[in-house]
Amino acid sequence: MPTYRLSTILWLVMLALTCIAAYFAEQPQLSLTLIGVVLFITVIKAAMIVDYFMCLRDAPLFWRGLLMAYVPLVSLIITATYAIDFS
Amino acid sequence: MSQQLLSSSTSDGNSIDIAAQDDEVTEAAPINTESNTIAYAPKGRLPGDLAMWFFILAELTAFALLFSIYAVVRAKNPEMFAEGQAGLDIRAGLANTLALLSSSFFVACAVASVEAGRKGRACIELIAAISMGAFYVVVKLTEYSHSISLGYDITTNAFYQFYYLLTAFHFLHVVLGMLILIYITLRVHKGAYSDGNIQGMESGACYWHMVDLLWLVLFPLVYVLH
Repeated sequence: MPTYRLSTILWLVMLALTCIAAYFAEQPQLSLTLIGVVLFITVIKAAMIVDYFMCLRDAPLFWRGLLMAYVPLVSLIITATYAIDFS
Repeated sequence: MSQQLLSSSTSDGNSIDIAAQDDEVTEAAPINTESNTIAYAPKGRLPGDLAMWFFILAELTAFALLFSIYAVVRAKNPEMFAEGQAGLDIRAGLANTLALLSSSFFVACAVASVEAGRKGRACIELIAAISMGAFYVVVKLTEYSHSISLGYDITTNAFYQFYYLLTAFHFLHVVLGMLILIYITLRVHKGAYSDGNIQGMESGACYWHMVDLLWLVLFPLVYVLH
């Protein structure tokens, strides 16, 4: 269980990362780099939620691994479909 | 929790040193003063019930399939999806993301508060979390109402089919999560977790975090990447 202070810091970081991702939505041209950055931000936020809010940091590796791998895997699929679209 | 425990933790600069003098402290909870953490969950323990984790796994799988199908259909109809996504209000998506992240934060704090025996504070945090969920519901319904008034409904095209399917499915999860949080709040208020067994609360909290996790993917997929 994280401390209140750590939870607060993580929460504020996630809010800031979300605003950065929303800023990218205003960019006129979508590129693979932009998609990579936005999805990387999503992966970071998801890892924070899994490890600290869900308290899986010290949980059995199987469950932590499943939850930690979820967003990166989905992000990879999304990126792949954009890569096919661009090609 | 004894006052001695509380004061010893605060004198060490502990971050759980919230002014809780008026808070009803119910039960002694073990506090690890050296690492400044509440040491209730032992290392290697899965928080909540195992059944809830299988349920969460099933939900995540269902959404992963929906996300993948959406991404594939989008790749086949990029213009249609880009036009549809451009018609969405990014501010609504942003507001909902911030609301759900804040809600998750309050729920995580509430679990920590219950572990520390501060049920009054936990109730306030849970009410804050439910309020954030209610904010999401209002914004989403306003968004739906606006889109429908402009003539964009589920029959318009493939984008709107997926938009309504994905977001409405998630919306139902938010509503269910809010009901669970209301139930947990009532239980906390009655002191149901004061015996130290907070598995039920942890299960509900993890379900709520899963709802947040899913929206973290939905937000860039539907609102940002176009």
